[in-house]
Amino acid sequence: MNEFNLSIKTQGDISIIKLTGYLDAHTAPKLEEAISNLLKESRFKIVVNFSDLNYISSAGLGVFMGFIENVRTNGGDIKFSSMSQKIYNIFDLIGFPLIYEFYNSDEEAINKFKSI
Amino acid sequence: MKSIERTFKSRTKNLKDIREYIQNFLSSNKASREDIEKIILAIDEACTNKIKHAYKYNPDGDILISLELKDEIFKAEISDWGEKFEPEKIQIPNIQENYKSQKKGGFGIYLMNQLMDVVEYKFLDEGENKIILMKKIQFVNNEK
Repeated sequence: MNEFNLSIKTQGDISIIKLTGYLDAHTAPKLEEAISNLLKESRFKIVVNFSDLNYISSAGLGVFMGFIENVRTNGGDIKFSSMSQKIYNIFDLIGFPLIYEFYNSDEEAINKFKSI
Repeated sequence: MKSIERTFKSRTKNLKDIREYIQNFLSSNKASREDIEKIILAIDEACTNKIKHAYKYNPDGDILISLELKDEIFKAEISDWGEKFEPEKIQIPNIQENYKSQKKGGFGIYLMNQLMDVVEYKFLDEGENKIILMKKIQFVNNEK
């Protein structure tokens, strides 16, 4: 119950981060570093795919809060896709739907970027 | 009544073992999956706070976790011997405020309060800081 992995693919100026496994206080720095590296490369349009994420604690939620303002200031966004109801319920408890956009698929999130 | 207890070192890499420990206790006692998930997250948050704030990432602190099930009432007691936590200083997080200030933390205690029925803090002799989490749970197939 500790494995966490992420992979990043790009589609034009959009980066899609796919999360797998368990995102907690031990594994959150890995995600933090990955997003930080994208921002250093001026890649501010980010989709995060949650379809294979089994678990998230507040340490994982906090990673997104740490970057979102900077990302939006630079004309980008962090959009969430393919989240299970179980994971969504945690985001919802904290009020994330007030700040973030949630989509059923990567394509929907990507299209939203393209329509801006 | 069923109860177990175990001590873990204050390291984030131990969070997985803590989650498994809780999972095994509750599954073997036929707690519902939904309750197991909520309790695991609440205790993860409690332990993460102890690692970060009570022990300030010192990896050699002790976290004692005792789990108890009496009828349908689940109770967890989680103790550290680090820096005293002051619950009265904790404010209810506001996502809009966190957004403006780019604040990453502050959600753990709020989540614990949302997920459990009772969250209590006790400060005992010899520097023991205890958090007590309680929840009325449901069982698989309504069996005990």
